[in-house]
Amino acid sequence: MKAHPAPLFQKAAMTLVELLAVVAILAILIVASSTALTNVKRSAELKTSAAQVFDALAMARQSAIALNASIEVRIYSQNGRCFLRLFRIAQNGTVEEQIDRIIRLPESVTFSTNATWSTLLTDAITGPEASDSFGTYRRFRFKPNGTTNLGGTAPATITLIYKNDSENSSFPANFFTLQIDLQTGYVITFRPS
Amino acid sequence: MANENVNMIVGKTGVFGERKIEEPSSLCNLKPDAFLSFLGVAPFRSGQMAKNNLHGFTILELLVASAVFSLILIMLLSLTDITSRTWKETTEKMHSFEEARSAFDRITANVAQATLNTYWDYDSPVAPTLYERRSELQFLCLPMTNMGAGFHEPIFPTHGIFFQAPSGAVADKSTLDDLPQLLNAFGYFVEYGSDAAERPGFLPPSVSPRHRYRLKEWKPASESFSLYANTSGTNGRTYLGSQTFNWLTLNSPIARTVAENVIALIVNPRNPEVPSSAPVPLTTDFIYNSRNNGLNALDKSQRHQLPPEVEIIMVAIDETSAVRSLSNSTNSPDLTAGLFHDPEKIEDDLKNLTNSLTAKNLRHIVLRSTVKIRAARWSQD
Repeated sequence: MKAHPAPLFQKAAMTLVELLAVVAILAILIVASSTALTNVKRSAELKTSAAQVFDALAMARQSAIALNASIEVRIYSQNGRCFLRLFRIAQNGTVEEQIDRIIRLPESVTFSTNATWSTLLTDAITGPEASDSFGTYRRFRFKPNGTTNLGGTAPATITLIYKNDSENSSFPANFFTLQIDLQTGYVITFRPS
Repeated sequence: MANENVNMIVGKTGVFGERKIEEPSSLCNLKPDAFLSFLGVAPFRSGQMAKNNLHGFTILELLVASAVFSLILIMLLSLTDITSRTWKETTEKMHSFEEARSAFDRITANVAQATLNTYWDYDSPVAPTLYERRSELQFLCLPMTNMGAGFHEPIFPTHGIFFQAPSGAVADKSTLDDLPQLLNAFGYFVEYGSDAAERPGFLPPSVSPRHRYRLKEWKPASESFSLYANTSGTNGRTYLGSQTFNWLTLNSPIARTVAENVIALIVNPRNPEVPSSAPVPLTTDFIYNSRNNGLNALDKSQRHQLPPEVEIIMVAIDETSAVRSLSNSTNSPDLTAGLFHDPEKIEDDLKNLTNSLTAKNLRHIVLRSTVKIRAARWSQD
């Protein structure tokens, strides 16, 4: 054969080794990205739950002023599930009706029960726990004049953390702390910057 | 037959063969066509089907394909990026202005309740000459710079309003909770500064204090109602004698934030009952003091009267703009410098402010409302 002894069109199939290499690379990529994605998902869950709780508290405060009625916030935390319910209180102090839907936190997020980080979940601030058909809860009220019925002098706080961090005694790296002013009912969020 | 065809094609093009002869591959001793086929790419497309012709992609096709793919990818990514940014901005805008709106509602609702609880008495207990309207309470609005030492402009921009209203905000909630008519003193003003004093102590240092404009509400509990107690006054009666309030220096935690990123609060007392069409400002310098002492003492006939209506204007920026413009500086950017000192120029000043905010690309909202004070019995007789 003149200048080209090698066959010009060689059948270019992949060998098993090549195939395995590709599969291995894909697997590594998937594993790497999935852990990254899980972290993203977790932090998104924490963020959305904080936003949900913030919105619920802001709504309770607004509704109290708009409806000229006290709004009771009930905070449930049991069997690893945390949720909130809001109730409208009649003038005579009886519980009238639930407003808004139940605000449920995702399973990976919980209210910290540490008495320093979540003063809202202590007897001194909200009084003793009560219970209804949904379980035991802590409660407080936003009043029509824009204040709260919370006890104490310092603003009350409630901290949202990952469930995995709930056993640790040190302050977690990722958190959302909501602070409620006793006199103005103003809610503000603090988070790692 | 097939081989002939192949050779013919090669002969026609002859590219690879010739190049190989002139400049041998320096990479390795792979022939270029073999190298290309190793990549899974046919050197060129044959119009004729050879028996062992693997009909692969050319390098050009691959390049085009990857270019198209990356274009699509870039488009998708930029789309998601834009969407998430817009989402973030709108939610922030919504929340920020939601806060400003609810604070505005709070101010207007409370100002409308303002009371002076006036009564008539002799002008002097020793040598009475006439009856006059009297009150122990006080209605006061003023540019914060007029409050005295410590209330300088960039930190306390624009105006403040101080009054009393039945609100029933008490400290001892267990025993006094059912007294909604208890009197509270109120104060609203804007302050620029850090939130270090208001934040919970357990936060790690990674959460750095934020410097912002904040709308403050000063509302001591009814039990500690001491009006504008002045340490230098006699019997606590010379409320504005030295124009110094001790509450901010002694009891600063009493003034609490009700909204962040409120940069201006303008309080303009007006009289709507003049025959001319538009309501007339009651002041020439925004200072309205219902008492006869201290700042801007009113004409005797107007003492101890509430203004019949108060125009309240609030300007707020959103958090994204605040982050961008304030850069967590301890120095206030002084966005309202030189503005809002003359009620006649209120429209011009407002236009100047919104124009300068727009020029600085700060998204803002102007909330404006006229509050009729229910307890006002305005008369100039």
